[in-house]
Amino acid sequence: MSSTHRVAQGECLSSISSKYGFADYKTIYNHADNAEFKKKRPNPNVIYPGDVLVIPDKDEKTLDAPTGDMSRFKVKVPATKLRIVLKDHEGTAYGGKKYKITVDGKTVEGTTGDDGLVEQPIPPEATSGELVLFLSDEEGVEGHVFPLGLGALDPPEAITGAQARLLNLGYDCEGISGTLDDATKEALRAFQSKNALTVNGTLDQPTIDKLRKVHEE
Amino acid sequence: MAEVGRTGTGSTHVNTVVLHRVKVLFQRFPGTLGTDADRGISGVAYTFKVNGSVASTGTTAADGSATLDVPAGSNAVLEIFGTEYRIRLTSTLEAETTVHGQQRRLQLLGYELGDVDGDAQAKTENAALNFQGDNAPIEPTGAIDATTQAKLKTQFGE
Repeated sequence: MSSTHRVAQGECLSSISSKYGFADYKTIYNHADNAEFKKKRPNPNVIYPGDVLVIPDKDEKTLDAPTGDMSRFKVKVPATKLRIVLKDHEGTAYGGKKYKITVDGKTVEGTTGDDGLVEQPIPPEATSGELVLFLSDEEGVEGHVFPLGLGALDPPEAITGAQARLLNLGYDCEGISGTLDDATKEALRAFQSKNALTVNGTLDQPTIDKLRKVHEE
Repeated sequence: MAEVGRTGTGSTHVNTVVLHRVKVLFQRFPGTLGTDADRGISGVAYTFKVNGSVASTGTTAADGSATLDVPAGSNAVLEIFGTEYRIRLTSTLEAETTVHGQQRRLQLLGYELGDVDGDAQAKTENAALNFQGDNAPIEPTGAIDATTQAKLKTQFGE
């Protein structure tokens, strides 16, 4: 019997799949019963608390395992990744900069790609981490520190999702309040003006689409 | 806190994080004659911290400027002259024709006027008087007319 799952804050398809024992999030995302959901949430890793998903039944496989022998089973598990593009005020990528990512107490160091991309595999259940970017190699520099809320990003049509994107893109809406307050309207106006949209300080459809495009593509 | 989405295998979604470049100028008597290079307080060591971590260090340039890369919504602090200046990105600087825009420019040029509130009361008039006095031959009236607006724009740099 299939069951349903109500999405909580911080969850994404990868973490939910992992919770229900599916190796690949696509098993749930591409399931016929979730077609409507898939249409509503084009990015499987940006879903909204309260969304309801159908969790399909698991396939059963019978494997012969001779007694007394050590049997090994390998399961292919697609990785969950963290992908962040770092850019300066002119939209130029910070390429070839050193960075450090800490998730679940494990720190990985690397260098951004020419396109400013930071890409690291992360455990699907991890919800917090830290990114440190080194723009200068002067002595005593500890780097720009970004605390990360993994999987916390809401869809851009939600005010919280719009605010998170505005902040990441450098428009200070004074935090993620979930209400369309003055600071958020001002940040929206600045974003709209920069992106040649109608400047009205509201979260209209062209603004939602543009926020998604600029932030995620 | 940067909220980001996770990415599954096969997906190309990213999260874009942008840092804005801010130039902060420390100058003596901003209203007096000369260019930025004459007024700048140069060669002063500074430390720029983001969320408590040293993001960059340096010394002020000839025009007294420190150039900082600031992420939005973070706790960004510039330590210089034994003082901590909190740097917050504001979305826009309003035009010099609006009271908000005039107050913001006066305030950042070092003329005390209290809050930038769009209300041109006595304090704003007083700041305008001082600004006009520093920018002869503008007549010191306290009223921000077109000539004063233009001067505010050129003195502030935008």
